[in-house]
Amino acid sequence: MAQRDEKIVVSAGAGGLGAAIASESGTELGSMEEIKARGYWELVWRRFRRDKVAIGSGVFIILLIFFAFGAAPIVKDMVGHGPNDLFLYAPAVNLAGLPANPMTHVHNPNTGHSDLLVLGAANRLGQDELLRLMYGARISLEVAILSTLGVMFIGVILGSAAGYFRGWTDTIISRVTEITMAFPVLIFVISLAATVGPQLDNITLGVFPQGVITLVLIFSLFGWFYPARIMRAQVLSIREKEYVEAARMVGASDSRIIRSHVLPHLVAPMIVYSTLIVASYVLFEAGLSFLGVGIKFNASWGNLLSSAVDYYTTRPLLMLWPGLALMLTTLAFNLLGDGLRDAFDPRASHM
Amino acid sequence: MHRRLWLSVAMLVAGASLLVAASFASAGTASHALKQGGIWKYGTTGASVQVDPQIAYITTAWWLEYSTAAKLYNYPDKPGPAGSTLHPEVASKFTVSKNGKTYTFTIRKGFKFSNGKPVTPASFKYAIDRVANKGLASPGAQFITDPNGTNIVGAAKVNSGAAQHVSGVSVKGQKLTVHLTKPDGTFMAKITMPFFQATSTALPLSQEVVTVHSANDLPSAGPYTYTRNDVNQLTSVRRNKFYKTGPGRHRPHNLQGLDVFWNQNEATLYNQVAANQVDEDPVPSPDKVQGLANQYKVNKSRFWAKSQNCTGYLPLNMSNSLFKGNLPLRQAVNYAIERAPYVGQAGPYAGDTWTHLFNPGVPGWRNVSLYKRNLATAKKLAKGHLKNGKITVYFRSSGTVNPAQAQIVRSDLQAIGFQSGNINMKGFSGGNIYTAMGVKGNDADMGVSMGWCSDFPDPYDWINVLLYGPSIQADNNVNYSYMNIAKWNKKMASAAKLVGPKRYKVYGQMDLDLMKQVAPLAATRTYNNRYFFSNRINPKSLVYQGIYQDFSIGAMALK
Amino acid sequence: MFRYLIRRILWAILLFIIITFVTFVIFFMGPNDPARAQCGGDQARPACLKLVTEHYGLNKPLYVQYWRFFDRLVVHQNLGYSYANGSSVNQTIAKAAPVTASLVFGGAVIWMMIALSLGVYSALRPRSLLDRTAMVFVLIGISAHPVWIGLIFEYVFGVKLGWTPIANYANFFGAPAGSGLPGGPWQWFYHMILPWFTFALLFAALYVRMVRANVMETLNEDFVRTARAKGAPERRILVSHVLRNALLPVVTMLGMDIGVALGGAVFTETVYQLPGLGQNLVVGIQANDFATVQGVVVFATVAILLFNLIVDVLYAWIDPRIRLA
Repeated sequence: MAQRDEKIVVSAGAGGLGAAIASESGTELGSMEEIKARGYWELVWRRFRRDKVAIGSGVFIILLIFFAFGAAPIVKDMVGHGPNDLFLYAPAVNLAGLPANPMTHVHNPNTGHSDLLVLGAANRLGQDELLRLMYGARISLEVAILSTLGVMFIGVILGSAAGYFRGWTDTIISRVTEITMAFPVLIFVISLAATVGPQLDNITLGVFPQGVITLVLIFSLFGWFYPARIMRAQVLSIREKEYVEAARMVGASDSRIIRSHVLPHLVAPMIVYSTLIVASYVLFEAGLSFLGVGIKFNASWGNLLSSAVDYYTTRPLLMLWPGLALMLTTLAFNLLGDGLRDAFDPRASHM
Repeated sequence: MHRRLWLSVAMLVAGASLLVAASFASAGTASHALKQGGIWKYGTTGASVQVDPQIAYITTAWWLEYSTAAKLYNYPDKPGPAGSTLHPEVASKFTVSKNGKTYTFTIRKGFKFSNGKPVTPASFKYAIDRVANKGLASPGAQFITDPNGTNIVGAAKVNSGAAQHVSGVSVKGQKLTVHLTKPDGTFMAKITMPFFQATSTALPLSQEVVTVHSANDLPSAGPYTYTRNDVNQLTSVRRNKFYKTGPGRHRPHNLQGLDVFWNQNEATLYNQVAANQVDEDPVPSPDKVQGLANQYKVNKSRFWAKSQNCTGYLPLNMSNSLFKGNLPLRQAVNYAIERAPYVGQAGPYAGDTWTHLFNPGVPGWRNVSLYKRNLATAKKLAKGHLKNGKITVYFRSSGTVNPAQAQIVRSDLQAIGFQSGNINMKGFSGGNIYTAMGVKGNDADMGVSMGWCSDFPDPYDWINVLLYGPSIQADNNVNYSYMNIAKWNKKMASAAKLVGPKRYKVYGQMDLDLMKQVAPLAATRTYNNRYFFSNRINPKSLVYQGIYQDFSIGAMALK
Repeated sequence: MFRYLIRRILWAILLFIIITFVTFVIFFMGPNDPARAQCGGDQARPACLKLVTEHYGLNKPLYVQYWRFFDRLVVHQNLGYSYANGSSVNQTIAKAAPVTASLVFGGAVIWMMIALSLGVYSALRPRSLLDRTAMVFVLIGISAHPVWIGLIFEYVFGVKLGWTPIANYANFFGAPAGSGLPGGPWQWFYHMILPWFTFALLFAALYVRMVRANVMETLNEDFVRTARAKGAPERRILVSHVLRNALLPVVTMLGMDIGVALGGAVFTETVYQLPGLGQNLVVGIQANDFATVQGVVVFATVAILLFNLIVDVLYAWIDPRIRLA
């Protein structure tokens, strides 16, 4: 329900108002909508295509997904062992208890062959760093992307509803947000690990490795307040903008205003936030694995990052590999995000 | 691992005869050559411990208490066997009544608390009153209210809250008399635990002292005293300026004092000691240990490794269907575990591989290896004994060492035929695995990264405590294997009554027989304490005291 | 405004009850035995566990324990005593809060400085080499483990170069008398430099990108064009029109990050050995010291509520179009 008119504070800007009315009345012509919508996506694609950096980033992400899902098993067959296979004895783990350096040959007790650890061993269990990096990409990307989608979905809906409708909707959503924010997640997670954690880890939906769903649930359940609050703030400010008022004045419905005037303005912060949060979730996963929740024995970038801390002076390369992988991925997501943002928001390209 | 310590080799063999008043040679003969003064900075990754003498119980707490306490009888600051014989300290002598129930101590004059007040027999009576006090809830109460062991007359009444003073303890002139409900050979060992040190009446009877800002806040009568306790930050001990050499007072006190920094980070602490800003790091980072050993040699200058009276093992739950009556599978596990890398996860010098309960700190231990890793044997034994093929394994999920050990065990279980999907690994943070495994009827088939440290160097504390069936209760069990076999229960009960060399011989054999014929657990390792020191410390001053298994603070000196 | 405040305070009380009770329930859901900490940890024996459990009333039903906690807190303003070391939780919080506050606020100043300078500059020259370099720089902060970053800083600047202390905290108002520890404002600053930067790196990436996006968004607003058209100096437009509007969502984030910061502070406090709330929380969790854990949770809840109230009021100040409903 729209706010009562006397509450709206109009802060002028005649040119803006006029332009907004003009654009609004244009879209009101129902018969043209179909054609215009197609044109819109076409425009988006056209603008996006021009952005070479964004295209490059998109290609990188596609390659990464292939690398994670397709190439890993091939490399596994090539090197002759799996990412979870243990090489407990020298030279995979030397007598000083340090993981092997890159290009170390180790004896594989299962096949009797001499296997090569291309990037060396990941830990004192002598597991193959390269394979773990590749297999870890899959789990980490799944966790990070699914969690981001979950968080953004809940956050955007609740946040924009709270900001747009204000009143009781806002009060209830804001209160729930505060409970979520103040919730002692760490303690919850530890209790979870010791109680229903193992059962939860076993939920795989037939597709995901063990623990992925647990992490996605935890992250989505406790992470949505962040985008929700940002969205709420944005919407609060947008809904008071001249063009929204103008649209309301000409009698546009709430859902139309949200779709045509509010959501497009949320695209930029949403994209920026999601492209960064993807990387944060990989790190959070490292933190939570340490507390015994989520990915336990399978490889993940989080695992690799946290075990690399143990060897920060003796095997600094162990931080480099997952760190670099994570950074390139985040960079690609961000550049892609920039490109998408510009493509969706034509005004930015005026600059 | 936290270990509490109390005890004496003498305790069960018992009695006065061993407490020969020894020669009063100054504890460190070379002490005059050592530098006097200076503050020793000690960092630890552990959390703050209690400082109240009647509450302090865990390892680091007792290590500090041994420097601040003045006790009736005490262990000298000497390494090896010389350090584990009781000597008179505040008491000049004691007598036992013919019926063995009354002990009378003669208290020396000249001991003073750090607030200048003299130590009297009442100081020891006050300690016993505090230990027994209901409101204070001292962990020491269990040692003097045990109906089957040491039971001081009236202590149980005080502990139930019905009285304030333990009626069985009386003071007359310089004499302190303690009445027991029944004769008890372990009394001397127990009364020399830090709980029963001379305690100033400045400490409130039923309230724990936590915050300390000066030597008057928590007065003690040993060579050192607490001068500061900021919980989880800094704890300081400094010389007790009223501790003057005299009869019974010849313990070394080279340092001006010692500062303990709590909750330090393993890697950061290492850096601080390497930069000589902190003097002692009792938990050097595993990846640096070999480097230290190569550079400084072991037990010579800045790197030391000393054994603890602890054994690591994987309990195999004999009350759940998988291992119940399944000796071949229990043996198979013993043959399958790769112990060397299991220990190696904690880095070099973390301990040795071990295949039976008694480590070299337990009297009667045998130096044998019962289970050499043999996958073929393990597979043969396991074949047809996997029941439904499912196994639930509890492991410790904190840190990186424990989960890595769990992975080794998991891979070894797969090697003897368990399918990876049928191995249910259940993680527990911190010490919660012990709580979970201690509940009777829990669903664990086995536990990883568990271990036991002896409270006192006697085999009883291993076999009877860990494997005696009738002591199993609803929760808080330590018999994590839930072994309860009538034949063995009887053997354990009768061995407990033996004394002298025969006791150790019988127990030593029983340890091996149990591991081979019952295999209620798979022993994995022994434990070492590893230390990294700054270049400020004098390595000649390091005296490893076997009773509390750490370096004597009194003997320590800087360069 | 007054009615708004009353409503918020009543809500805060309700929220406090919800959060503390939920903490109670989930803590006692797992196999946690707080008595173990006093009985020698891993080798705790039944007799001692029974004694300590009864002493603390840990065998009482949950609602009885909760009522005791609530009653003690409300009537005596007392959070109780640590199960692990007997210390007063009030004192623990009182000592730890300034440490965490030093870290969080100092860190926030640094990350806001990074975010504003890099963010605004990148927004003015989007896709320039500098923009891309800034992005790579801030992404390092979220691509490496914070503990690792801390250790590297400490190793390079503390151990190798000796420019800063390796670790530990120095009290701003001087070290406790006779403790022999460093203290005073300069030592405090000197000891906090590395922790501040380490902590700021965790958040800098998000803030730089957010500021950049918001500034770019605002630069396209009509009122900016209007201001430009009217011939206002570029500098003035940036400060009074663009930044003011671009900062609105950033203020929201700052308010929320007070809660998140406690989690992030855990890493920094651990590696630099700062005795703050995060460290106390972790130590408390490890030792099953529920009294301390609950104390930190209570404090954090109050802090989060307070900061959100401030943020909501700040909103109204930055963006007068929004009124406190």
